[in-house]
Amino acid sequence: MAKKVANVVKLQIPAGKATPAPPVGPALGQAGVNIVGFTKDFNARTADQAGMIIPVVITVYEDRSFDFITKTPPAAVLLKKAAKIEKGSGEPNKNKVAKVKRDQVKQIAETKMQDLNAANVEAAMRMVEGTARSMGIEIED
Amino acid sequence: MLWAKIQVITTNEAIEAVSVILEKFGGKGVEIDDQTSNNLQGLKENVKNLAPNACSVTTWIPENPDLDIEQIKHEINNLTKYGLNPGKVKIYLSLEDDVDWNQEWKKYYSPIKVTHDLVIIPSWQKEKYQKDSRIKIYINPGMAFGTGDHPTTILTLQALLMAFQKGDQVFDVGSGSGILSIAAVKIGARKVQASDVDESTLENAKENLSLNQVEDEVVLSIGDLLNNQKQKADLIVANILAEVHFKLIPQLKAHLNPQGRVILGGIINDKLAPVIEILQDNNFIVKEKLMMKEWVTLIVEPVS
Repeated sequence: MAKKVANVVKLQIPAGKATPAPPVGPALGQAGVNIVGFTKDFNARTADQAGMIIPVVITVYEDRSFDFITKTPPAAVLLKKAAKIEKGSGEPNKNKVAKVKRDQVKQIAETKMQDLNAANVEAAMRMVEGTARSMGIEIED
Repeated sequence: MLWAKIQVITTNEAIEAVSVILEKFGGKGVEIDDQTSNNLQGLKENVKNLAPNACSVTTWIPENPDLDIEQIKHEINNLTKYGLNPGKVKIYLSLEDDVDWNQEWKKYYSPIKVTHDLVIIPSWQKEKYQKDSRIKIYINPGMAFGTGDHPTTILTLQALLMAFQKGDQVFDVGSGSGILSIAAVKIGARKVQASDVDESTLENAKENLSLNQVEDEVVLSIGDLLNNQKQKADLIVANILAEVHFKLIPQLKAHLNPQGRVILGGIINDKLAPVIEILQDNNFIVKEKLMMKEWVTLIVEPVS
């Protein structure tokens, strides 16, 4: 029989480098998961992407055992990669730090559509574009 | 340590942008609660009043008097300028102490049989198992790794029982909770030197050593692998990650007595091939391979 799900915890944390410090500790602690057990599993499975922030969805069962899946990096990380920058602008309204092509936005939107809970690609693109602008990244056709 | 916990109520479409803003203010990761997780009930706000696309993004920042919540709120509200609707933004700020986040899980921690004659007992059940004739390791699970409920700990303890020879001098590299050092003393190690790179494990390890009355036999220190180790051991045990074994393996030979053995735990299946390759490059051979789920523990020896 399938185990009954008690909780679902969603985090975005650095691959390969999770520690029991917040947000991991309190989020999983509250759900009754053995935190250091999770960090060992997570770090072993994500070591190849070390340092990159990645989303992880942890399913906690009634007996407090757990499974988790990792997803592609957040749109913001993919945008920084596409724009070849280390970080976004501190003042995105005044200071534009990079440009990305609309095609790149579309590609990111398609990759992340499911994770963004977007109804369609257009909605996902709007979220990715908005996120890009909020980081001081301009979109060009 | 005091933490500022910042919880932002926003909309699904602004999650990514809000996460970026929180990161800019020092957050080292976020927790996201949306309509697909069931934590929204835990919010201070009546869940019925939240819009269907509402969600919460939470981060924790080391407490800092310069933290400007109004500025965070201002930047989030500004997202409308970039074509995102953050909804009716609310921010809850609370100061939280560093605590043992594992309290809830402890309710589910129970004795673990490692082998026919070795068992791990939660500290609060010590009395109950007093007359049990098996070898008992008492553990008060804290925030250090090694409580016995992880396959890598079980495998490495089993390997320890297989590779151990009476009177061995043992190094425990990456000792965490101290569980492997405790086991080594209980099966007859002459002396154990335990070290961990993470200072935060020390307190829990000390507590466990004293629970098991082995504090005189185990020397505990902070150290990165064998970098500061001048002595040699008969048995080196390390339950760490494959990536860390890559660095440890080249250090092993210089720290092993003749007839020395090494136990390498915490290797995820995918990384077994590169670990074995590095072992070969450093003239070690695999004597035993123990496996459970996706994990492998190896017993290795230098090529004679």
